[in-house]
Amino acid sequence: MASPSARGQRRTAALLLSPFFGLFAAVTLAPLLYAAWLSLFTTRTSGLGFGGTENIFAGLSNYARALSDEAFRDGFLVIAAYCAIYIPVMIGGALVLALLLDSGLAKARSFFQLALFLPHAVPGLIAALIWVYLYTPGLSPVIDLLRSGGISVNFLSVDNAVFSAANIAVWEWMGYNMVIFYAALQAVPREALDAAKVDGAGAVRTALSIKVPMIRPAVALAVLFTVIGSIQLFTEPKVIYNASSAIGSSWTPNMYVQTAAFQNNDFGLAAAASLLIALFAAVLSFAVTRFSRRGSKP
Amino acid sequence: MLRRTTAALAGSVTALALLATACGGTDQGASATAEKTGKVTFWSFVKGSDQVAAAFNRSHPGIEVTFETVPSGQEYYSKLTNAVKAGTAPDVAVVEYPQLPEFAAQGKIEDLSGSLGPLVKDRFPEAARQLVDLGGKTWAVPRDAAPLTLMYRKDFFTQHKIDVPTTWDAYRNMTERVKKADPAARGGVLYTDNPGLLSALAWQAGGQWFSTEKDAWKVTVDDGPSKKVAEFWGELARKDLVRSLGSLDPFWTSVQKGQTVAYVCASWCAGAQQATVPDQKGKWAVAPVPTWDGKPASAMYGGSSFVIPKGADNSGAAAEFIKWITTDPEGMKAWVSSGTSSLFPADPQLVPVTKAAFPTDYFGGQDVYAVGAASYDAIRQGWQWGPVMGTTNTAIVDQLPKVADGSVTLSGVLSTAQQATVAQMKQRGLQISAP
Repeated sequence: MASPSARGQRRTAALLLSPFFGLFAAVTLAPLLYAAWLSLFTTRTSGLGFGGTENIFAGLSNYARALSDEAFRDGFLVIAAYCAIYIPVMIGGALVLALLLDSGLAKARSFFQLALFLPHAVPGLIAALIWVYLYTPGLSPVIDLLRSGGISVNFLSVDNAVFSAANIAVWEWMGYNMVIFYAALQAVPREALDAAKVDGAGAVRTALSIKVPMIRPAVALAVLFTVIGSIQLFTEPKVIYNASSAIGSSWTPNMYVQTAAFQNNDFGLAAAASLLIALFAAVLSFAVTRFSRRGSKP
Repeated sequence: MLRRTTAALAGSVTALALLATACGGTDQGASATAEKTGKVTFWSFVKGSDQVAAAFNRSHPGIEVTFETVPSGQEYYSKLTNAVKAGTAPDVAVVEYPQLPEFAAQGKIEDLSGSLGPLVKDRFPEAARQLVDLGGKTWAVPRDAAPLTLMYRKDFFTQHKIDVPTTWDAYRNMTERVKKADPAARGGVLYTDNPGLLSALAWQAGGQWFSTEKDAWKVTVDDGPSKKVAEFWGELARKDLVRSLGSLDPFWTSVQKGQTVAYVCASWCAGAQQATVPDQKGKWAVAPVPTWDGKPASAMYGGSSFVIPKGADNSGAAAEFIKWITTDPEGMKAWVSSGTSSLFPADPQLVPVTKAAFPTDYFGGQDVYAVGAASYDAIRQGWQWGPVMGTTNTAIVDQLPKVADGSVTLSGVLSTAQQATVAQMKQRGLQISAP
């Protein structure tokens, strides 16, 4: 039999948790269910099409259409290429910067911390617009400068767009992750560092063998968030697409969804594709968590 | 013929204006006038919309039009579609001709056959009517026709003794001579983000992307004339005789810098040109668009109409507003006197009004409306826009930037668009007859 105090405790817990569950249901579960519902229907018309439209039940055919569409599948390949460039550069760069700041070498520590973090304070859309200005031939001073040096490069071509998009994201996120890593480095016990010094380890050896392993959970978490964020890649390529449509309107999976919904008015296909992206992100984040957890075991 | 002589018309416009006011009083019974009051929200991106709304409010005390400016392009059409879905649609909205069939087919706009159908039948020539009368119903009221023209830098052409081309062969020569005269200058542009000019040029050459037979669509985006046009422009772009540029900032920057000294455009470009590049006043002139055989032929590049979206709160007053801004001389004057719009009225009776209201000192006093009028007369009959233009246009735009570097051919782009269009139409359940 539950004591009155236990019952009261449970009631308080329910009360305190209810705002979370209320919001979670309203802004996460409800849209998910609505998308699942939408994904089962398709809009059909007949003849010339001027007699109106009707919504018909389509079963899982929207999912089949998304999966069999090369444009949708290619989007994931683009994400893979993007991750292969972006994650090592961004996480590696953030780690190196954090280690430099943490080492005895750094001068004007808080200035650099702020300066490197500053790009993250610029909203993503604005950042993308600024970068696209620098990428656009005829407008960009950078391209003019390169051209006067005899180098001609098209940042907006389909071949270079992965680099261009990754570059914007690196600029935006490196400082942010550096701050996280730097904070984690502050928590490394001084005894361990002192012991390393006594054992004769230099600065580089200490960084690689003591500091990095000790902040591994922070790095793993950053990688996890970055992977999930990368699957949802949208803002940067969308702005690049507006400057030059060479990359195509379905370059990343999220762009595919947007094109399906708002260019082609195919909401069923868009809903099915979004749920597939969500599913993929869930599976991938599960894999990343498992992988990093296994790695941390001795 | 689309219209009688301008001289005869000039006199009749005043009479018509009087007639319109007179009819306004007798046509509508007491109950109808009661409906034609109240608030009207109006979405538009075309130049002069704010002035025309303000002018309407001044002359119609019973109706209060609230103008809301919206972005142009695909984003706008998404916004309008979503607003209809969400039940927050405006009472009046602008829709360009290419997008109209898709809106009608999606059931996003009201059938105006009953309310404004007679007006459309009465006032507009076939060239404009065929774009708004679809499947036997009237879906919109045309505002402007956008007949093709050629814009060129008179000073540059005179200085380098270059003739204004009248055929496309001569146009190619012109681009070569322009580049020779000034290595930084080009005599044309292939837009990388705008399929409208390409489709207009295909239309002018006798292409027919869409047609209807009984209850089925015929889709031939890559027909012979269209491919001829695509090969011509693809070659110019590959040889760097015309610039491959985005149609907004990059294009206008090139004009500003004197790097674009001629371009194919439409009647509305005169206003856009003088509003965007005011400091090149007196240097530009307007010429008829070149043709394939030297005989006049034209098409529309752009042009807009007004619709009443489904779910509009006040369609009575909305219809009254649409009627005024498309067919009333005062309404037409309000569009053009802003100085940023050189629209060519789809209603030919109103041409003298716009001509009188549009300031032409930028073009050294040239009668730009005479060029427009000749071009309007020469528009090829029978063109239709397709029911999934969003898909067709996206398929073209996604490939256009790759034409200049030779990674795709422009006629290949049309074939891609053909396939994407047919696939999307099948998906929607539309009938397609074999081409």
